Amino acid sequence: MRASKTYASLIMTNYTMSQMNFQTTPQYPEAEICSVCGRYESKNEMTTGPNNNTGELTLICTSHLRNSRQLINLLADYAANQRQSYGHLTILRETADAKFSY
Amino acid sequence: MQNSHIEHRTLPRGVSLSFDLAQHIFIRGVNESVVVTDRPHDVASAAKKQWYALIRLVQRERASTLKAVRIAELSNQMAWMQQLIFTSKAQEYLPTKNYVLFATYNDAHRSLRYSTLYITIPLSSKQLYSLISLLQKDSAVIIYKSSSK
Repeated sequence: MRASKTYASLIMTNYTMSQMNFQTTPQYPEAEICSVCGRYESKNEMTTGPNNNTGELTLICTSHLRNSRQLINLLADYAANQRQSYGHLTILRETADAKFSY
Repeated sequence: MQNSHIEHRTLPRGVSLSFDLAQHIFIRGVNESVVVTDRPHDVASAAKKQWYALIRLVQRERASTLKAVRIAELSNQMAWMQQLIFTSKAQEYLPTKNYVLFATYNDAHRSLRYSTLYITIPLSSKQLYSLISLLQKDSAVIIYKSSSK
């Protein structure tokens, strides 16, 4: 009885000693933001989306691809938001090249 | 080739290549795309058919909404979708803008600059690099993997 107790404690000791580096925080895959719904998703669950108004490439969730109607509406809202938020930049860029005759 | 995003894509079960291509071209919303395939004419006609189905869906969505901003945006999208040219005749005539070129590897070089490159056939790394070098800034490369692998 005593021998088995000792053996059990020995196993526990060895086990705890060999496991020095416990993973205490879960490792999440690298997350990216979906440009149309704003949700954070892992990169594996995302696909290439539209370019934003500054010309940068964005990503969207692959789950949107399953519902074409939802995708159409989300993309329309995204494009409208892009147009509204960056509209003034487009105007400035156009007026920079304007020539005045006076 | 600057800031190019390379995506390896597997077709979901029950989804055809033509549907996935049409949907992805719609999502990207860019004016110049190239699809590298071994059967350009077949894939182009199938994708065009899916594209017209998508146009009808956008028309239905526009008709069903009452939001003025969304109606305006869907009208813009429809105008863009209707003027996009799906072509597989790279040797005869290639538009300068608003096109989706379906071509074999050799013909794909005829397109000067493009924003999205879809690769549906296996290519060597040298071939892939020669196509990627023609990409514009902030462009995407979608490489379709066969689902049997």
